Amino acid sequence: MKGGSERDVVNESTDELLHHMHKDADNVAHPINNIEDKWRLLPSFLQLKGLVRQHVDSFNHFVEIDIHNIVKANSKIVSDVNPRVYLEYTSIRVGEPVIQNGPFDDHDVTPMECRLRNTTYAAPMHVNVRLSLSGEVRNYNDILIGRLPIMLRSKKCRLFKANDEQMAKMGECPLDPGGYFIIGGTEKVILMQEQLSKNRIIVERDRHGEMSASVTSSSAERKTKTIINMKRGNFMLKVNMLAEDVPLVVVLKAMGMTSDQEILQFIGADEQSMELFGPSLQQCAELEVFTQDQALRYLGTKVRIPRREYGPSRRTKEDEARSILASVVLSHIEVRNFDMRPKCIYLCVMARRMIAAIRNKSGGDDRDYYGNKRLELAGSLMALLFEDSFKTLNGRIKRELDHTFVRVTARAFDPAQIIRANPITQAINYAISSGNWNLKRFRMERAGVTSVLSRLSFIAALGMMTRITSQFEKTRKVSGPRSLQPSQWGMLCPSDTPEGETCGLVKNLALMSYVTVDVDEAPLIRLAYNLGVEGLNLVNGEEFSHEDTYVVFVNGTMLGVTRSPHHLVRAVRLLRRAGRINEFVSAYISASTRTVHIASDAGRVCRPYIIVEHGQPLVTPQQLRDLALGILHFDDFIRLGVVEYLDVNELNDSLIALYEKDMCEETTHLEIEPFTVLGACAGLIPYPHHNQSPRNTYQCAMGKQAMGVIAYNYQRRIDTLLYALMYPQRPLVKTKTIELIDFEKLPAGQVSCEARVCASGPRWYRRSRRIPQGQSKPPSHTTTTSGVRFCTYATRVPGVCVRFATMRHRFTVAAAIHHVHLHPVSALSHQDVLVNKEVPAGTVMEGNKRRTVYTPAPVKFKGAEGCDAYCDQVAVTSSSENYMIIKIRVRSTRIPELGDKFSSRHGQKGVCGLIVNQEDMPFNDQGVCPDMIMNPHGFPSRMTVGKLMELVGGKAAVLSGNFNYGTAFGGTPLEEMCETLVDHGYNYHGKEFLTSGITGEPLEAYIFFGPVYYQKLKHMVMDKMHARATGPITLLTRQPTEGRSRQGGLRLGEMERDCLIGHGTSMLLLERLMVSSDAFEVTACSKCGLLGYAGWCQYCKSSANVCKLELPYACKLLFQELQSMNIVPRLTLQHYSEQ
Amino acid sequence: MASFNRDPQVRIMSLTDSEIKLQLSNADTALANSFRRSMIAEVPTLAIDDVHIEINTTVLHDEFIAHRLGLIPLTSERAAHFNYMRDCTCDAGCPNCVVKLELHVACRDAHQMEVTTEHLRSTLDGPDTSVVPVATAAERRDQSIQGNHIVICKIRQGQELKLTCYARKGVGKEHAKWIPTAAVAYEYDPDNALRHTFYEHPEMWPRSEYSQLTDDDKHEADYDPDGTADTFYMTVESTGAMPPEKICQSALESLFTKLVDLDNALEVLNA
Repeated sequence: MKGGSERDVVNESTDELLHHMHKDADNVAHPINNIEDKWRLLPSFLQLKGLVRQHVDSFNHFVEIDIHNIVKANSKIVSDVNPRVYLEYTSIRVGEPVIQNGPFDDHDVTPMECRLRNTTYAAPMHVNVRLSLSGEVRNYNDILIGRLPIMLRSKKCRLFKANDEQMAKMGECPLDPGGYFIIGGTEKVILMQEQLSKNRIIVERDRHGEMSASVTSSSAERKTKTIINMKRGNFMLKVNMLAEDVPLVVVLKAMGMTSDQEILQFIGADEQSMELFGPSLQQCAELEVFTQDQALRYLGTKVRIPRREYGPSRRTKEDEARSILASVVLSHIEVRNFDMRPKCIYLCVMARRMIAAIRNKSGGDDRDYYGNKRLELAGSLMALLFEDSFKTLNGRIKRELDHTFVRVTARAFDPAQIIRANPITQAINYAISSGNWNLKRFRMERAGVTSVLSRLSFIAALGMMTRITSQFEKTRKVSGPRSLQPSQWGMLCPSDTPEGETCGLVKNLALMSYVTVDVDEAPLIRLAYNLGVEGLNLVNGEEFSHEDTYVVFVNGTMLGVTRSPHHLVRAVRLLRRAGRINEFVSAYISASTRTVHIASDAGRVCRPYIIVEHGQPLVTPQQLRDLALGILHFDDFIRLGVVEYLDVNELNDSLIALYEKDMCEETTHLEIEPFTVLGACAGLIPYPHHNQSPRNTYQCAMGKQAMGVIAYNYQRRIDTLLYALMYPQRPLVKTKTIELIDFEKLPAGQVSCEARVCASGPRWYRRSRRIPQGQSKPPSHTTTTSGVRFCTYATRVPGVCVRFATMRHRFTVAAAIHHVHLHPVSALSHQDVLVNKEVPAGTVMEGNKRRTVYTPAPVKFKGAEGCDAYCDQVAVTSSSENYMIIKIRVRSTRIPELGDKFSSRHGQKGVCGLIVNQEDMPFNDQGVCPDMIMNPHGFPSRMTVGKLMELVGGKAAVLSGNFNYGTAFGGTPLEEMCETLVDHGYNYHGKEFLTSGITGEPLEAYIFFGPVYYQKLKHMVMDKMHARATGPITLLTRQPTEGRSRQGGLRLGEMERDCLIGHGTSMLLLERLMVSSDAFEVTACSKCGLLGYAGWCQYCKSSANVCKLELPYACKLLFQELQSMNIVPRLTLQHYSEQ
Repeated sequence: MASFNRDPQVRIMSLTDSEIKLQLSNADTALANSFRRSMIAEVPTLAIDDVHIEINTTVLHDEFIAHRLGLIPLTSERAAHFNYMRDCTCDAGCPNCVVKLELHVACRDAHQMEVTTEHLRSTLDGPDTSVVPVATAAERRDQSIQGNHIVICKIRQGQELKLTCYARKGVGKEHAKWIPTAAVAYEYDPDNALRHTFYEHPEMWPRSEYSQLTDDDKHEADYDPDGTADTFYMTVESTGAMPPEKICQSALESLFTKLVDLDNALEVLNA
C-alpha cells in the first residue's frame, strides 16, 4: 500500500517534469522572449573583469606588448664615429616583483611587505643585448635595465589569480580591487586622464568667430597640430614650423595637387562650395603660385628655421618646406617617397567639413561629445614614461660608445657597466610618486596624474579606481566641459562628481563601462579593403565628392571610399559578433559628414548590450538559466554573439531599448540593466531615482568619508590614518550594486532606528540638521556607533647596517635610537615620547679624539589632552636602503559624542546635537525607543523622498525578516512594503504612536519611525576641538600661530573686523588686532618720523624728540622691510589729547 | 492634586521570568511615568565596570572587548546589599562593593571558538558567587536551559584572552549597562477617548491590545472631554539581571526614598 503510493508520487512528479519540459519547449518554439533575469549578466561581467579591469588590462597591455614594441622601435644604438660599432637590444623581459635588501640581495616580495617596509613593489626588467665592436659581435644576456613598479592584480603581480587562501597568506584582502601601485610604501593610483581623441578632425569656431578645422596628429615619432582656418574668406593652413599662416591652396600645390580643378573636385564642386572656396584659389593665383616648385619656394620663405647644432649639410629652403610637409603637417598620415596625395585629400576633407559647417550655420563639432574623448590609462602613461627614459638612457649609451671608440685604444667595453638600472627606475618612481608627468620629448607637462589611494573607507578606494580627471583648467569658468553630456549616458556616473572647483571635471565610470586597449589595426585595414573599400589612389575628385561616396577612416586615418557604407558597417559588426575580429572594434556611419569610422584605438569607453534582431533579443531564457547555473559566463555571451560592446560613437548609431517592452522592429540593442548607468558610489543609495539629484551627488562624496571596515586585513595595515567602525552592519534596504561591489562584506554604517520628531527646544534652534542621539539603549542588543581611529607615527633611522652607514654617511655618524619606548598596550597622553630618537649634531674634540654629540629628536604623541589613546602596534623594520623604520600605531576609540557627524545615504548629513538618557527617550506602545531623532524640517527643502522609502523598506525588512531592495529604477515597490507593515500589525505609512519619556503623555502627532542606514563620518569633535588663551607665536611676525596642530590662535578675520568697525567698538578692535596679538613697544622720533632704539634716534643722533608708542610688530616689520627697499616710511606723531 | 487622595492599585495581569504586564489604576500620568522612569534609570544593578586585560591576542581590541563585557547582564537580585563603590568604606574595592570575575580562554585547535559568558567565572574568594552572567544563572537553575550564552568574541588557533573584570553596583542613569529593563511599554487610553493624540485616519491604526471597543467598525472611542488618564497598562521586559517583579519593587523603593528625601528637605525648609 505504502510502496504504491510512493510510486504514484514518483509518477506524478515525472509527469510534472515532462509537462514543464514541454512548456519549455513551447517557450523555445515561441520566440516571445521574457528575459527578466538578464541582470544576471552583470555579476558575471563584474566577476570576469572586476571594477578596476580597465587599469589592469591597460597595464597588462603595456607589459606584454607595448614595452616590447618600444624596445624594438629603439633597438639599435649606432655610434656616430664608427657605424660598425653598435649596441642592439634583442629582447626585454619583466620579471617577478622582488625587493632589494642591500645592493646584491633580491628576494620575492608581496605587496603587504612593501606597504609595511616603505618600499616599492617593483619587478626587474632585464634586456638581452648584442654588441658589435667593428665586426666582432657578442651577446650579453640578462642585463638589469630598471625596476618597473607592478600594478597590483596585474599579470605580473603575485596576487594574479590568487585564491582567497593564498591572499590571506600574503596578508592581502581578497576584496581589495587592485589596480594601483605601491611606491615607497604608499599606494598610488594613476587616475584615468580624459583627453580629446587624437588624429580626428574637429571643426569649430576659433577665437575670432571664424570656422576652423584642427587635427592633433599623434604617431609613434611625433605629435603635431594642424589647423585650417579662415582669414578674410581665404582658407589658411597653420602649422607650428611655419612662421605664419599659409594659403591652403599653396600647400596643396606644394604637395603635388597642382590642378585647381582637382582641388575643387575634392573639396566639392557644388555651387556653394565653389563660392566659398573660390577666393582661396584666386589668392593662390595672385601669389603667382601655379606649380609644385613655385609652391615649395613660396613655403620655403615661411619656414621657421630651427637653430642647428652643427650642419654643413644644410638643406635648401625648398627641401626644408618639403620635409615639413612630409613630416609635420598631418604627421599621423604615413608618407612614402614624398607621395603626399593622401595628405592632400585629407586636407581637402578638412576644408570640406568646414564648408559644410559654414553652410549649416552650425557651430561645428562638439568638443565635449564623449565620442571625441579618449581615456588615457596607466598602461599608456607608463609606456610614455618608459619610452622617454629609455631613449634618454640610449642617448647616454650612445655618448659612451662614441666616447670609448673615438680614442684609438679602445677600452674593454662591458654593456652591463653602461646600462644602469637607476635612471629608468628613478624616472618611473618619481613620476608615480609625485604625479608629475614631465616628458620633454612629447612636450608633455602634467601634474596631478597620480594620487594617493584613499583608504578612508572601502568605497573611497573603489571610487578612486573608477575616477577620471580631465586636463581642462580648473580655474576657467566655462560650463561646457563640466556639464553632463547626453553622450555620457551609461558610460559615466551622472551623480558621482565632487562639488567645488573640480565639479564636472572629475568624473567616475559607471558600473558596466570598460575602457578599451589598443587593438592592432593592420588586419582591420586589410579587412576593409576586402570588403570593397577603394583605395584613395584609385579615385578621382569627381568620384570622391559624389554624394553616394562615403569616406572610410580607420582610427582617424583615411583609408579610401565606399559606395555601400551600410554593407561595410554591417559586415564589420557581423564579423565582430562572430568573433573574427576583436570584440572592442567599433564601426559607425556618420551620415552628415558622409564618413564611415572604424575604430580599434585605446581609451574608448564602451559598455555591453544585448543584441536585438527583428524586435527580439538574441539572449534566450535558457542561456540565462545556464548563466545562473554557472555553465555559461559573460565571455560566452560575447562569443555566442548575443551580447556585444558598444563604444560611444557606435552607441549613437544604434537604437537601444531600455526595457523589453520598448523594443520594436528597428531596435538594435537592449539595455542589460538600467541601474548600471550609475557608478559604484551612487549605487549605494537606495531609491536614488526618488531623490533630488544633487542629494545623490552629496552622498557620493560622503560615502567616501564613512567609517567602516576598509579591508579584511585592516588589523595588519599600518597606515598613517585608518578608521574602523566597531559594529558595522549591512543595510536592510540594499541595492543590486551593493551586492555586486561587496559592500555587504565590508560595510560602512549602521542601521539605526530613527524617529522624525520636530523636537524644538531653544537649544536646537541654531541649526536644522541636528540629531539628538540616544546614548542609552537596552544592553542586550546595543549598537553603539563607536569608531576607532588608528593613527601611525613613523620615523626613519639611518644606519642600522654599518656598511651603508659608512658608504652613504661617511661624515655623519649614524643617529642612534636609545630605545623604543613602547610595547603595544601602553596608554598614551599628550606629548608622550613614542620613540626616543637622537640625531648627531656635530663633533667635539676631546683631547685627540673626535666625539659625536647627539641632540634628542623624540617622536611625540600629538593627540589632544584627555584623549583616550593606546599604543596598538609597533613595527620595527628596515627599508630597502637599510634605513630602520619604526612605526607606531596609536588607537583611540571614539564613542559618539555631541557634535560628531553622521549621515544617511541620501546626502542628509548632520551633527549629533544632544545625547538623551534612556528614560527621556520617546517610546512606542511596545516600549521600543528610537536611536536617533531627526527633525522633519530637513525634508521639504532637500526632497530626499528616497530616505522616506528607505525607512518604510527597512521597517518592513525588520518585520518580515527579508532584506528589501532599493535598486535604482526598480527595487521593492512601496505598496508591497506598506502591505508588509499592515500584515505585521503596523500602520500602513510606517507611522507610530509615541509617548514622551519626559512627560509620559503621547506626542500629539504620529511619528514616522523606522530603521535607516546611517554612516558615521570621519569628522569628529575630538579631532577638531580647539581653543587657546595664549600660546606659541610665529617667529617672523610675532603673531599667534595658525592651525590646531600648532595650538594656533583663532583668527579675527576681515569680515569680523568689519563688524567691529561697524559697531564702533574701537577699543575692542584695538585689543583684538594688536594687544592680544603682536603688540610691540617702539621708540619713534617725532622729528624725523623714523623708528629709534632704546630712547635714541639714530637718524637725528639725539634723544630729544623720541617718544614711546605701541605698534603691531607686523607694522614695525613692514617699515623695516620697506626701508630695505629704499622706501622710507615716516611716522607723523601727535599726542591723542592734542587734536 | 486629585491623585493624592486616590489609592493607586496595581493588578498584575501576567508574569513570566522575563516579562511582567501590569495595570496601574487610580493613578495619574505623573505617578505612572515616574514609576516607568525609575524602573529604567534608578534600579541598582551590577555590571562590569572595570576590566584588566592581561592577554588579548584576539582580533578585537581591548576597549571593544571591555565594552562588550560591560553590557553583559549580571544577576543582580542582591544588588541592594552591595555598596556603591563611591560610598563604600574601602579604598580600592572590597567584597561589599565589587565582584571579581575572571576569564581565560585560549584556542588550541584549528577551529573557530566562541568566547562566551560561560567562560566568565566569578572567583571564589568573593563572598558571593551568585553574581554571574544571566545565562550561567539560568543554567544553574535549570540544567535543561543551555547555550544561551552571549558571545564575547570569536577566536582561532593561537589566540588567547585573559582578563579580570570587576563588577560594581550602579544605576541606569550613570550608564546604560546598569539598566535592568529591555523595553518598558506604557499605555493609557487605548481607544484615544481623551484625544491626547490626533489620528487623521483612525481606521488606519492597528488596535491596541487593551482596547475596550467591541464594535469592529469603530476605530476610536467617542471623545470624552471630561476624562482623565487614570488607568495605565505597562509591560516591563527584563534583561535577565533581575526578575521583572523585582525591578518594579526596586523602582518603587527608589521612588519612595526620593519622596522621603524630598519630604525631609521640605520639612527642613519649613522649619
